[in-house]
Parts: sequence; structure tokens; C-alpha cells
Amino acid sequence: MSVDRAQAERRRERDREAWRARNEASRERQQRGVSRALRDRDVSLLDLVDRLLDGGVVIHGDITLAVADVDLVYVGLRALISSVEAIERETGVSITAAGPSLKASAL
Amino acid sequence: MSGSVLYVYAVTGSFPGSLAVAAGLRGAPLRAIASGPVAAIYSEHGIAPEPDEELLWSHEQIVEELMEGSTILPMRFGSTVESPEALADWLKERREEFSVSLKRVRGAVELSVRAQLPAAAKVDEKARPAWRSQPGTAYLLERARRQRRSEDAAARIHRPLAALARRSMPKAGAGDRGAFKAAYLVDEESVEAFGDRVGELNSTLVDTKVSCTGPWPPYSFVAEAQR
Repeated sequence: MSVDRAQAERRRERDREAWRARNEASRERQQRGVSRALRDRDVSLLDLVDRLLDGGVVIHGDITLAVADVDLVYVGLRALISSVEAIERETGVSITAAGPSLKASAL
Repeated sequence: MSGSVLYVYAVTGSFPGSLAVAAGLRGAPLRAIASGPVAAIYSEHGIAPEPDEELLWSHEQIVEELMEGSTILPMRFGSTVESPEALADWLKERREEFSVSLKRVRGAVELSVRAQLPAAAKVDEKARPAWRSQPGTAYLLERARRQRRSEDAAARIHRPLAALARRSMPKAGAGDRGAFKAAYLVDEESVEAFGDRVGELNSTLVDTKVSCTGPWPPYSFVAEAQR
């Protein structure tokens, strides 16, 4: 009985250990991401929007679902875009004239 | 299966080791579907996640985790398909293209560079010969001069950076309004040198602030030609 308990305790300890290690790794990753973003958080956001909405592999054709319709995505991002525009005014870096990614500014 | 959505993050040449640890958007488990040498990484959702700024950063973080230890082609944000079969078909149809693209970006990351180019100094009106002061002529000359200035300034930023990059991609429309914007595909070993060179540019170019962000997944280099 007590052997079982000791084993269970060891297993729990091991699980906790693994959980801590995973947590640690994920926190580290996050910190790396955050510190990088903090280097120039505003510009990072502009670049993020540029890349995620205008770059990357595109799925063509009718297998793309209507819910993922780009217009809908843009509508959902309207709030974000207006904050991007505010950043643009502050930094003087123009992005709305550039990519089709920011067509949403016409919304 | 009806009513569910597969949200696709990336196409990869190998199953990333982080797949088991990392979670997808809203904590959904990551899955992979393979076709020959390429695979697509996705998560399944009841409804497509509502897009907002938070979701953009989450998407980015997931893609960056996938990038650790494997070569990936990031998908555009909001890419969804209706079923694993549809995803497999799509993957099969384009796997040659993806294999080539994966080879092209292997061992490299994307760096983004922006700069506001200095405004061209005003020309002294009195120093101009009379014919050059005709309104139409003056306007065109001024425009050409600005264009030249802006191209020169852009080249002063671009050339030394492109020399350190595997590939570069000017961003459309950026030069027009006195802004410089470009993406560079840079070997992982050269990222530090690239950053140093941006620093050098900032200390040598007066009136120009060059900013660089990254490393990003190779969003701007997923295809051979510009989209």
C-alpha cells in the first residue's frame, strides 16, 4: 500500500517536473517574442498586419469557406486597422497607400 | 464533420517536433495532414475564430513556434478549408510548388525594413532660368527631382542590406510617398550582421530612421514571383 503511494507520489512529482519544464519553455518563447515586439511595438504591429493579411500562402478556389471570406476578415479587423492608422499618423510611416492588405481603410 | 472549419497555419516539409506541445488558436490541438513530401498544419474549430488584434498575435506566435526546428511556408491569416479531404486535395495539387518554395526558404528568416525618406530640399526659385520656371515645366522638373531623390535614398538603404540577403522583395507603392519598405530573406547566421548594418545605416544616413523587425516567418517569400 505504502509502496503504491510512494510510486504515485513519484509519478506526480515527475508530472509536475515536466509541466514546469514545459511552462518554462513556453514562457521563454513568449518572452523572446515579446521582447522582440517591444523593440518597436508599433512598427511590429504594422509589419504583422502587412504580413498576415498580405503575405503567406493563399488557398485558391471554392474550398475556401464563406466564413473565411476576406471581406469578413477585414470587417472583423476594422478596429485594428483604425488603431494602425493612428500609429501611422504618429510615426509618419505610411502604409495605407501601399498594400492591398489595407484596403480595409476604405471601409 | 459538418459545420466545422479547419484553420490552416503553415505548409511544412517535415512534421515539426513542436506539434505535440504547441496548441493552435483558442487552444485547439494542432494536427498535420501530409501529401508526399509536404504537410499542412491545421486545427479544427466549430466556427472560424473571430479575427481581432489578439488573434493576429496568437496566429503569429503559433507559426513562429512551428518555425522552430522546421522549415515552413506560413499561410495567410484566416486561411480555412472545410474538410481534411479538401485540404489533402489542395496540398496534393500544389505540392511540387511547395517543395520548391520550402527549399528556397530553408535556413532563412524574413526581416522587414521600413524607413521614412528625407523630404527633398526646396529648390531656390530665383536661381532657376526663366524657361524652367514655367508652371508646367517647373512642376514636372520638381516631380522628376523628387522621384530621383527618393530613388537614390531608397537605394542607399536597399543596396547594403540586399548584399546580406538571399532575396529581397520591395513592397509595392512604398517609394511613392517618401517611404521605404522592403522584406529581406536572410540566412539565420546573417541576421545579426543584418541588424548591425541597419544600425550602421542609422548612424550614417542623416534625417533617415531605418527600422527593422523580425525574424518573421517568410511571409513575403512563399512564391517565386510576386503574387
